Amino acid sequence: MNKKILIAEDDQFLSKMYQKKFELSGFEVMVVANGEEAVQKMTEWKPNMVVMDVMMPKLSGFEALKNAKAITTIKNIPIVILTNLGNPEDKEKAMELGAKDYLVKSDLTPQEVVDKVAKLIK
Amino acid sequence: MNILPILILAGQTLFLWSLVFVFYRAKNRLTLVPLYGLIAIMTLAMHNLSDLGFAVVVGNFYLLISSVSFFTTLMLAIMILYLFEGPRALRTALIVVLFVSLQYILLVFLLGHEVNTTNWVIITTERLRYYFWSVLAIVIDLIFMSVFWELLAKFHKVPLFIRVFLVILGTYFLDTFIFVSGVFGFQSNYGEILVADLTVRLILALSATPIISFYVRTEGYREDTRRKPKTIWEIFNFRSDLESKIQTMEQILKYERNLEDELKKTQETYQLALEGAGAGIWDWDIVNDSVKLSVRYAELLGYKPEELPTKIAGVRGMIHPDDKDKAVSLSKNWTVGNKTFLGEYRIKTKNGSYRWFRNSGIFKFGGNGQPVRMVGSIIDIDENRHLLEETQQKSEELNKFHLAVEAATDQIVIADAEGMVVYANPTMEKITGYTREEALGKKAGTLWGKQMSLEYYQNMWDVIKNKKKTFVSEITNRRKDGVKYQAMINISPILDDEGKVRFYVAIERDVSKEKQLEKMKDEFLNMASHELRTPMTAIKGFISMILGGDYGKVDKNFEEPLTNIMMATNRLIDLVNDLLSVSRMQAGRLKVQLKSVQIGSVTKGLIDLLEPIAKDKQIKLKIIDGRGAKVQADEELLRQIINNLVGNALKFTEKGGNVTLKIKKDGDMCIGEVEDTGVGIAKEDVDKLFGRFQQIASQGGGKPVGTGLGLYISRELVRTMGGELWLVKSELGEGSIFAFSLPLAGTEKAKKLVRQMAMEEKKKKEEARDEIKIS
Repeated sequence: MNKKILIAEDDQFLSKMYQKKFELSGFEVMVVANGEEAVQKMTEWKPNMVVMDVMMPKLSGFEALKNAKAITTIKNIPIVILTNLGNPEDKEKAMELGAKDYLVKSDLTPQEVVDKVAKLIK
Repeated sequence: MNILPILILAGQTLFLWSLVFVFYRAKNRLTLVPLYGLIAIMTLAMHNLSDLGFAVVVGNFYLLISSVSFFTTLMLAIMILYLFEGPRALRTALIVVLFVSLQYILLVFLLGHEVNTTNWVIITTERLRYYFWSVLAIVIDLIFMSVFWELLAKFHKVPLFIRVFLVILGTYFLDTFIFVSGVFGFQSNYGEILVADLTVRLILALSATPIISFYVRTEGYREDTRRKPKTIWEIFNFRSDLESKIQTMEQILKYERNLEDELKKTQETYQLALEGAGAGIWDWDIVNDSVKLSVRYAELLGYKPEELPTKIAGVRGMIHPDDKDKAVSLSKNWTVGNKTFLGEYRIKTKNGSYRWFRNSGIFKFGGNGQPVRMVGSIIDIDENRHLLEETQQKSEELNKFHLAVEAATDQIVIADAEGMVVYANPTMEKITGYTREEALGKKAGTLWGKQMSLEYYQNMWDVIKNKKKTFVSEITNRRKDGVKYQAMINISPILDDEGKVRFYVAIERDVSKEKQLEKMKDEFLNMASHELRTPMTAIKGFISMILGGDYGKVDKNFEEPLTNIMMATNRLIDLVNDLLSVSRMQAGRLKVQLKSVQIGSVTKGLIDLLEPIAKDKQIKLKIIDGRGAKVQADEELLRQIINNLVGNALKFTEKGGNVTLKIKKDGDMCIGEVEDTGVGIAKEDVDKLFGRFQQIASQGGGKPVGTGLGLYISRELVRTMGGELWLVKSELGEGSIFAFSLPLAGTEKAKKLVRQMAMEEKKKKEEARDEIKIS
C-alpha cells in the first residue's frame, strides 16, 4: 500500500510539480491550497505525512500546524514544513510547534524534497 | 534828707556805665588805647568834681560817695575789659591812671595850696592827700583784681556769678581799706568811717554783680578760650606782649610751613600710591603745550623717560589709529559740572606692539572758564582687556551651545553626580511627555525609565559611574502617558580635574519610528525574497525534473541549455539568499548560537557538498582538520563560512589544481586557512575584496560566478563570532590563501563572548516582547 502524502500548497505550479514528483516516486498524493483545508483533509483522509507550505490563504501553515497538533486524532501525523521563508526564527517556530522538519524550497530540487520526506516516513 | 547828691551820684554812675558800654561795643572799630584813655580821663574828671563837692553826712558819719562812684565805675569797667581783653587792657588802664594823677598833682602845685574855683570846690593839701591815696588804691586794686580773678579762674566749677561777686567785693574792700586808712587813719572816728564805707561797698557789690555777670555771659565770654596769662608776672610784663606776638607769628609761619610740607608729602604720597599701583602719571600744561610724563609712564611703555614726547601731539601720536579720535575727543569732553574723564585705548609700546591702557584724569580750569591744565594717570589693562574679551567670547560660545542644545532634536539631559536632573532641553518634553519642571531635581530613571531589566541598569551605572565611560545602548523607555518607545541613549560622565564625576550628559533619540521602519523593511525583504523564491523554485524544480527524465527522455541538444538555466536559477537563488543575509546582518537580526563545535564534524558534513564539485574540475581537495580542534561558534554559520571559502577556492581554481583547508591552533584562537592554486588576486583588487558586490572581473578572463557578497558575509559572520577573516597572500596566476580565526572553545575569550552575546540576546528578546505588547 502506497504511503499517503498531503501537500498543502497555494502556488499552482509548485503544487503540480511536487504532486508529480511524489507520484512518480510512488506516493499517493492529495493537494490542498490552504491550511484550513489541510487540517480538514488530515482528519478525513488520514495521510501518512503532510508537506505544508507556510504562506497560504485562510489559514497559514503555522496555524494549521498548531491546530492539527491540538486535535488528538491527527496530532501524530507528521508534518514537514516546506516553505520559501528561510529565516532561522521561522524554522525555530515551526519546530517548536511540532513540525517534523523544516525545508526551504529554493534550496532543494523536488527530488531532494522527496528523498528527505521518504527518509522521514520510512 | 538832701536828695540831690544821690541823684547826681545816680546820673554820674549811669553816664559812666553807658560810656563803658558804648565804647566797649565799638572797640572793634576804634583802637583800644584811646578808648581806655577816654574812659580814664572822664572818670577822673568826674572824680575830681565829685570829690570836691560831695559828701553825705549821715548822723556822725561821712560817706565818701563821690569817690565810691569813681571807683565803682572805673574798676568795673576795667574788670570787664580785663576779662575780655586780658592783661594789656589792665596795663593801659594803669598807665592812664598814673598819667592823669601826675597831671593833677602838677595842677595842684601850680595853683597853690587852696584853689577856690567855685563855692563848693575846694582844693586843699587835705584833698591832695585824698587824691594820693585814691590813686594808690586804684593801682593796688587793679593789680589785686586781675590776680584775684586769675586765681579764682582755676576753680572753674564755682559759678561765674559767685566768682564775679567775690572779685568785686574783694577789690572794693581792699580799696576802701587803703583809702580810709590812708586819709582817716589818724582820726579818732576811723573805725566808724571804715565800717560805714565797707557797708556801702557791700551793697554796691551785691547790686553790681548780677549786672556784670549778665553782661559777661551775653557777650559770649568763655573761660576756656580766653587768652590767659601763663604766670602772674605776665600780666604786668610788657615784653610778654611782644613775645607772644612774635610767638604767634612764628606759630603761623610754622603752621604754614607744616601745611606746605604736608601738602608736598600728600602729593608725594599720591604719586607714590599711583605709581606703586602701576600707574604712570601725566601732566599737560595746555596753555604752554608742555607735557610731563612720569618715569613709570615711560616704563609702562618700555621707554626711557627722555625718549618720551613733551608735546601733546607727540603723546597722541602714540595712540592706536583706531582709538585716536576717541581719545582726543575725551580731552575735549569737559563741562562745568564734570571735571574728570576716563577712557580706554591702545598705546604703542617701544617694541611696536599696542597695549590697552585706562587713562583717567582731571581738568583744571583757568579764570576764563577754559581748561588750562590736565593731570591724570594711565594703568595697563591689557591683560584685563584680553581676559574680558576672552570671557565675552566664551560666554558667547556658551550661549551658542545653550541655543544649540535647546534646539537639538535629540533629548539632552544633564544630571548631577547623584543622577538628579539639573537640565533638560525642550525635546525631552516632546519625547517623554514630562515637563521640564517635573523632571528637574528627580532621577531620570524614576520618570521614564524602569522598563529594562535590573541587570541592564546595573551594567549601565557600572559603565558610567565606576568605569567612567560612555554608555551607548538601545533602550526602551516609557512616556508619561504610559506609551513605550525605543530610544538610542548615549550617557557620558563628565569628570572634574580629580577624575570624579561632576555630572552626566545623556543624549537620547527616539528611534521608535526608525525601528518601525526597520521592521517594515525587514518584513518587506522577507516577503520579497519569499515571492522571488517561489517562481525560482518552480523553474529550478521543473528543470531538474526535466533533466532527471521525469518528463521523458531529454534530447541531448537540450541538456546544456537546461543545465545553464538551472545554474543561472541557482545563482539567482543564492543572490536572494545572500541579500537577505546581508540585510538581516545589518539589521542586527542575525541569529547566533555559540556552542563548542568540532571543526572536523563541520568539514565532514561539507565534504559531501564540496567533493562532487572538486571531482568535476579534477581538483585535489585536501582537508587537514587539526586533530579535533573545537571552536566556539554557531555551527550553521561556521558551515556557511567554510563552504563559502572552500567554494570560492574551488570556483577560481583551474582543472587539476589544489585546494587545501588547514585547521590549526594559535593561542586562544583556531585558525582555518584555505589555500588554492587558482587565478589569484591582483594587488589593486585586494582592497575591494571584502566590499559588497565586489567581483574581481579580471580573473582568468572568465565570467565571475557568484553574488559578490560571499566574502563580505563570511567576514561579518566571523566577526560576529569574535574572529577575523583576511587574505593571507595572493599572487596573480599562482593562487591565494584566505584565513579565518575563531576563539577556541573554553578559553577566556570565548567565555567573555558568550556572556556578551547572552546579554544582547536578552535585550533583543525584551525588545521583541515590547514590540508584541505594542502591536
